[in-house]
Amino acid sequence: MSAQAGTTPTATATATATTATTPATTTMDADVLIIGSGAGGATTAAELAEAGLDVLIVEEGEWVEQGAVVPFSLEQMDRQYRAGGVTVALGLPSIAYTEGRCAGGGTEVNSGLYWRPPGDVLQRWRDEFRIADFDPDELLSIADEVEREISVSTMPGSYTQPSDVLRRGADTLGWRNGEIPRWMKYPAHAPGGERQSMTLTYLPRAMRAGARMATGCRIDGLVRSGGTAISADTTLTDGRRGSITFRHVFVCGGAIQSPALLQRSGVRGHIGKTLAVHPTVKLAARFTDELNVPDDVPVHQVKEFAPHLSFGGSASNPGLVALSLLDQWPTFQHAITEWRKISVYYAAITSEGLGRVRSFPRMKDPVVTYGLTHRDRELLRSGLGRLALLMLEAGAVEVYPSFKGAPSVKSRRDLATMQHAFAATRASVMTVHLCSTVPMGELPGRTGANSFGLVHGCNNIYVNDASLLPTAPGVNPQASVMAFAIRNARRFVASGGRHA
Amino acid sequence: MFSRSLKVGTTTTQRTGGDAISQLRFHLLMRQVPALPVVGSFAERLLAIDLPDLAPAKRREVIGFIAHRVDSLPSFTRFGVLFLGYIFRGMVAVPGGWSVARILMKLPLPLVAEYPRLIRSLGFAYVWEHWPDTTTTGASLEKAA
Repeated sequence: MSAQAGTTPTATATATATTATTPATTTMDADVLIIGSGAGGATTAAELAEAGLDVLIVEEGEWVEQGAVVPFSLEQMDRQYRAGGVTVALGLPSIAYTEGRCAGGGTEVNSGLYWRPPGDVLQRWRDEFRIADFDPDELLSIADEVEREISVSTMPGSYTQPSDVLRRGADTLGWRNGEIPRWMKYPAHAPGGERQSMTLTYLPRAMRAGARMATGCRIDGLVRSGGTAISADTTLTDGRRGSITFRHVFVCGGAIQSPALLQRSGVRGHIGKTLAVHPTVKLAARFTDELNVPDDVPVHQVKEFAPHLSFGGSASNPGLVALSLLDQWPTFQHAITEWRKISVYYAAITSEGLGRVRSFPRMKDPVVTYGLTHRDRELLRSGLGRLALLMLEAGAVEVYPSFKGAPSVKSRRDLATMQHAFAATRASVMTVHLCSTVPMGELPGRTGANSFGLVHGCNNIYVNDASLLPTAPGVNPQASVMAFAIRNARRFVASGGRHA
Repeated sequence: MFSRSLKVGTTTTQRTGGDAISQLRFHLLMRQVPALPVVGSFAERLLAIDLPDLAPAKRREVIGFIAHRVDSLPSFTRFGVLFLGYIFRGMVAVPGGWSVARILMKLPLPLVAEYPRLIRSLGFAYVWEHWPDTTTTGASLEKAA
């Protein structure tokens, strides 16, 4: 594999620049094209660029400096989320989900909570999906590196009050809980923390090693000759069409966009058929004192019933508090004027259901569907009940579950009524963890890519993002995504791009 | 358009003469209809009921935001929302139609029930993010005091 550059592109990133804008030219080329700049794409780019390869990263969204927008605000959703954060997997109920669409992808907009891939999950993936040459210890060793690079650390000083609510309630009930570390630095000038997302870590690292990056550049489809992709059709933000030629392509657009691009490009196989998510239901809890933190999320999670059920805290700016009350607005509306005393919490489940991502001719965006199983619905019911109990034990004076027809919960006596009234079809179900649409491994019929991300039936199209995770891991998947992406990138370099 | 013998994805195969026309037709159908005229009157009616004391200027701003968000929805979702938007707009426009719309909104109809929920969600999120001291009727807390 050569490491030389092709024709000189005018993506604005140079060997020393560590930011990017929309390219001035519509025609570019590279040895390796990386589509997407999130947890998978950024780590892949850094590994390949540092190995001396000519790397071009393209990102559909814009580069937004940290601090330029208020976290979890509507402005952030406009600038850094796909479709302004209004995306949905159709079903009964439909499940709202969000995708980052900016330089750094989801790492720029999520909670930053870090979970190592659980050892038992890694072994199950290896055995059930026949992932070859896969040593869980090797992956955990890569996780060590990642943790150093993105400064995974616990919070100095005292916890925020919404976070302490989770700890207090769980401690009272004797439920297992703890602080989840985040990819954060806590310098003196930013005591609330400075997120060590991809735009501050792996993307600058890739660009220092010579990678170029173009933002505002959507990949419409890959042009293939048999099993080999030779170029990508692009549309820039200003509407200009163009193309990028390459020798290898890594598709790292996330679990929705990666399979959608492959489908638009005519790639067949087990692509987009097994979307896995962690569905969540929410409630708002009102306390006697003001505790709301509009621009941050609690760092505690309750894992007593993990991996099936976990509890944590959500972003709770006043707009989001209003949303959590909306399903039962006629009876819950009085609470909105006291939003400073309210924080929003979630119960997340590991789902047995599955979803699909389907691209249709002439449609720019894929159609996403998801079906919850009976067990999932019951788990959501039980989860919401237990979460409400936890809130009461933590001192909540009133709890407002987010489903149509919900009663407010003021004491333990109300819990049975609430659980009886719950139906998943009337709830505001959402998720932020999407994965498994191109599962990796050698098991025929259940995997879309081989054990290192090479798409089955293709010679030079790789997937290297959350799509590869064989199932939902039961914890925040970002650490797993980064560790697998680095493993696969290293294998690619070691094999000279010939591990088909 | 491609003279080389390439196996190309659906996006690239569309770039032929006949397909270009149907693509244009589809584009007109999917993207060229601005959301504001379709969802505006329905959003205004919902806001007037939910937040009757919201100042007219604020209400216009909220409706503009809702339309902007509908315009940026993924293509399939946007198509569905605009389709329902036309139906609800029609109901708002005819005498007695709003009563029918209210009944429809209360029925547990998949997708149909999602439409007013989406409009409300966008509106409420905007109102309380931008004017957090808003009362349950939409008035400003300071003004109410």
